[in-house]
Amino acid sequence: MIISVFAVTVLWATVLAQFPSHRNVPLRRAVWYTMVLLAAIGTLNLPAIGTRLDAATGLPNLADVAQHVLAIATATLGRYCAEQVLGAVRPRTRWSRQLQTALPTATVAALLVLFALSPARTHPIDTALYTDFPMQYAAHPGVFAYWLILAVYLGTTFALIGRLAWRYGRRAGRTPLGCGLVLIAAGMVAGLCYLGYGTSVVAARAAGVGGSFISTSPAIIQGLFGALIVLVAVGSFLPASGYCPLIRRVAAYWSLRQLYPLWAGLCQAVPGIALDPVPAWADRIDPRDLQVRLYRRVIEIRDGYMALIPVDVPGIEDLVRAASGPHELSAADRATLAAATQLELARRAELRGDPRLSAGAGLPRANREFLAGDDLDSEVRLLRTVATNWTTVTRTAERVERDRLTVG
Amino acid sequence: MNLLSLNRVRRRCRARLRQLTLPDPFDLTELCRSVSISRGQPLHVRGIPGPSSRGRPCGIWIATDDDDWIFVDQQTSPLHRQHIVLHELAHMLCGHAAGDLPENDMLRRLFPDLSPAMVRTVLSRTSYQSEPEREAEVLASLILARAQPNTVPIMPVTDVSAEETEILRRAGLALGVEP
Repeated sequence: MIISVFAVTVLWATVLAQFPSHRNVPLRRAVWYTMVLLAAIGTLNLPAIGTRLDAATGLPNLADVAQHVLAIATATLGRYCAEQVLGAVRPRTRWSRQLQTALPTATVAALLVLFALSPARTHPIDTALYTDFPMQYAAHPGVFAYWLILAVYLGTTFALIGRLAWRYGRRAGRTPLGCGLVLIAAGMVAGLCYLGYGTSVVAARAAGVGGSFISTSPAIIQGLFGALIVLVAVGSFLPASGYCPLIRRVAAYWSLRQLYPLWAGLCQAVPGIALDPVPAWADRIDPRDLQVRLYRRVIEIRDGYMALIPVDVPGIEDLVRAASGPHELSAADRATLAAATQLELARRAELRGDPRLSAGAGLPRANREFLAGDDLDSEVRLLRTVATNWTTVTRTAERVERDRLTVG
Repeated sequence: MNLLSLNRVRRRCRARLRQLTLPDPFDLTELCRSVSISRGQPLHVRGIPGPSSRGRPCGIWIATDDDDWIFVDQQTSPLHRQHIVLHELAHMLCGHAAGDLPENDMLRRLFPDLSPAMVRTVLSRTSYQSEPEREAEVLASLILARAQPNTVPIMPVTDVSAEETEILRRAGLALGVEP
């Protein structure tokens, strides 16, 4: 019950927060309506609401049927959104367009007919033991068929959206959109688990199985349903969360702190780059002007890079790959870390007072990747890659220095 | 550096920023054009020729009787280059002028045919020792930090095909990322 209330609260909060800022975009509107329908399903799923609806209308299990019909509508809308996102990649034929309308209509009609023929139309369920009427009346063939139709329809939609969200979420990388899509994919997996587990409970009931498997099922089903709702709500909210001033401030503070060691190290070697050198404690406690301070941090790191003029180290990317350990880096991240290692070597040389050569007119590939930031966000993302993989950078730098000593 | 002095510079720059009319959305080329019109002479932005070397300034503003020239080191990121140009523009916006011409070597390399007598001002972005340099740097930072889009990025840096980029753009649009 607590999980359900929490999940529904989160879902309504994100629905309200996402009230379409650009209502003239049909795709955005469709996604928002999908979220509204999902929130309505979650609300009807709350026992306090569902039982009241049943009592008010005098129809037992009406709330369950309403949830299932809404779920078909939500899945259809979700499927439509997924296909719109894929866009020209899969052009729709006239036949498939007709099928898109006919299939959900036929599914809803079948569910309503099967419900009307089932004992659930006149007999309420034991809410202490069952979350949905198909679980109590699974022995009735019509109810069993009802559940299978529902599970297949929702399951194919969950699988389609989950696959799409996972694939493109991973391609979008560590951006809010990438994280949001991966969370939606996780929500779809929770939905598939919900359907799979629900089907096994319905099948067990149809076979006359009882005991702890059945008695523990309501908590598990509610947990999976709650996970589905929360993951989809958070995943759909995350990409646009950057428009929220509070979230932007928190993100700016977090980035500022992450970039502090890199910046402080460069300031130690080239003190002139800092317009306002601050100790770590002052940087940590100061909540003012976060955006300007983050901007300054990036610019001063860039100034440090230009002042030190890192020298190209042959084979540096292979050394980075070796130092990164078991986790695989993308080609872009490897090039970024290679350039950061060259910068770290130049910084160490400067602190030691070593004479160094200029990198010359042509920039090595690694440095080109490192200098790709078009705006503050892309710069911060690039430099955060360095900050989060600092161990790899220092390990590679130490290896290069060791090799140089050996050669020397 | 004196913190009080830096705070004074910040206050002055904020006041100056309030009086400025900046292009919306921010466009550096447009700002250059507007500064050029207000100064009544053409403004040229060029890369500094030759490889980077120690101590070489990453940005230089040279004002002659007829033209303004801004030279930028090309071996840095686009945002940093924008900042360097804006730093030099900030000198113009603040009405800075050099008392003497200390950049003779650089000047000879950039303008081999130019008579030093024609040069009115040379300012270069090397350190923040002087108050005009601090002021230009703070004003450039305030302008560009404010000009950053108030959005979150949706695209990864590299490694994505055009088709995937389009799908990601639509996915972002569907989830409320501004078009």
